Order: sequence, then C-alpha cells, then structure tokens
Amino acid sequence: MSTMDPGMWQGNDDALMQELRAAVASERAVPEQVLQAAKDAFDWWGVDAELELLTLSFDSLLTEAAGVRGPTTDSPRMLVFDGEGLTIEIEVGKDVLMGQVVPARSEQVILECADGHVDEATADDAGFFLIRRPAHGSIRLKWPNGEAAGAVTEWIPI
Amino acid sequence: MTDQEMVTEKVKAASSGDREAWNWLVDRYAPLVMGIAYRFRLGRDDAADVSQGVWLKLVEHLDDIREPRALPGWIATTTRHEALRLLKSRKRTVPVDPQIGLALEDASDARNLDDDLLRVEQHQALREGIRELRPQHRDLLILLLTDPPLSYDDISLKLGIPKGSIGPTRARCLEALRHTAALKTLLPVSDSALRR
Repeated sequence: MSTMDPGMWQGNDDALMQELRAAVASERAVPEQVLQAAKDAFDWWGVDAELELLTLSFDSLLTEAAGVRGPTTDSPRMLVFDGEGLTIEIEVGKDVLMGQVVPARSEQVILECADGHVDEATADDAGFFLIRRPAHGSIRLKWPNGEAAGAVTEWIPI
Repeated sequence: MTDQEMVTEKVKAASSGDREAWNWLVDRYAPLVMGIAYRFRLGRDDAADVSQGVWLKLVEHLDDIREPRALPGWIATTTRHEALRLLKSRKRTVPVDPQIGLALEDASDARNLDDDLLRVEQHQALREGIRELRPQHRDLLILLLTDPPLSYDDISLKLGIPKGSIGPTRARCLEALRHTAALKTLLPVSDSALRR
C-alpha cells in the first residue's frame, strides 16, 4: 500500500495525479529553519580551504558487524581522523571530547560548530586535549597553525 | 537549457562560491533529504541535524561532484548514511540489514522502510519531471495540484483556456510527464501497463 509501483502510473492518470499531489505536498513540508540552516551551511564554503583536510577513517558507530546488535556496554564512541603524517583520535564523552594528536603536538585546538559557536583548548605535551562539546549537531576540530602545517577535520555529527 | 544542464550549471557555480546557485540546489533537494530522514522515524530535531550534516558534507564535496546527474543519488545515499549514524548514536541499536545497511526492527520494517525510501526518491523524480515540462503543461499541472484544489472554472479563468479543454490537456500533460527524462529513469521499460 505504501509502495507506488511506477508501473501503475502508466495509463492511469488518476494514480499519477495522486502521487504528484503527495510529491508536491512533501516539498511544502520542509520546515523553514531546516531550509535556512541548509542555506547557511554555505557560509562554510572555502573557509580554511588552505588547511589540510583530515578525513574520518574510523567511527565506532559505523563499524558494528552487520546483522548483530550494537554494543550492549556503554562504551564511548571513538572517532579517528587521518591526514598526511597526522592522526587525531577522539573519544566522544557525554560533555567533553577527549582528543589525542599523533604525533603529539602541543598547540591550540579549536572546536567549531556549524551554527558558528566556537570553543578552544590547548593540547598538552603528550598531545592530549579536552574540549567541551555541544549536545548535538555537526562539529569540526581545527589546528589553525603552529609548528606544523594547519589542519581541520571533516564535519562530523555528534 | 534543459533541466539537467541547469543542475550542472548550478553545481559548477556553487563550487566556485556562488551562493544563489547553492540556494537553488538547497530548494530543490531539501525535500529529498527531509523525506528520507523522516522515513527513518527521526524526530524533527534529529532530522534537522541529519539535514545539516548532509549539506555541510556537500559544501565540503562540491568539487568532487563531477557528474551532476549523480547529485540526487549522492544526496540520498549520504542522508541514509547520516540518518543511520544518528539512530545508532541514540543507542537505538537494532539489527542491520547487510544488503541495504539500514538499521531495522525486523524484516517487515525493512521492506517498509525500503519502500518508503524508494517513494521519497520517486517524489523527487516527479517534482523534477514537472520542471521539465513546457510552460503551458507545467502551469496547468501546478494549478491542478494546488492545495486546497481549484475548480475547473477557476483554472479556466486563470489560464484563459476553455473549461472543456482542461481534461484533455491534463491527459496530454501527464503523458508528456511520463516521457520526461526524470520519469523515464523510474518507469519500468517493459509490460509496465500490465502490472496493476
């Protein structure tokens, strides 16, 4: 019933009209704030394009074996971002992100939220840092400069 | 310019920083993103987070979209992926269908979700099909789809066409719609009329 076999639209104008009505209605159903947030995402276009992009190579949420239930323990989510000669490991805690820069770089780390909110921390000599996290939404972490070249992670929803 | 060429041009313009072009792409594909997010039974706030994640990713990857024809597919796949990730982060840990990668309660839910997602993509194709029609057909169809519905008298007045021609024109217009590039990719090629 919920399926609309496109074959049914052939030679059946009323069925096709009914589906068109639903198609047009779902276009009107996008909330204005959602539309605006999508448009505002473009504010990030080209921002920090000169920094090296660190890509997500591991997200514990996505690596559970297919066909089985997820972790029953409350093990925290782990993320790993990789770049040329730089790896960032993040443990996503309830209120904070615990990060490790490999090889260790004792520098400023900036957390950027898609809505423009910014926070920062400084990694210790071992490359470890703690930074407050927002409750939800997409974030990225940035190493603006320092001894080594600057870098920024991909956006990641937390 | 065909509709497909228009999308190509907008993707190209957006990837060189044109905000108007970006807004055009958002207006066109936001219903696809939200339609898919809602089919995963995400609440409004979660669906909004998924949507934001998808658009941020597209900003990051605009340069990689070499073939704009593939854009709706990229958006649909990315949205499913992000919706699934969000479901998992909410600890709604449920069995995953290895074929389609969807988190599901049971097999019948799997089929329903798959059907629902297909339908969201069909709706996107139908909206694109309408845009491909020539103006006379498109205008009539849009008036016929107005909510609340307009009477044939109103439509006749608005378009300056005889009331008696609306029915036959509607039929021609739907036939033209079936032959648009957007719908041809959806409709099965053979014995489709027999599948009722």
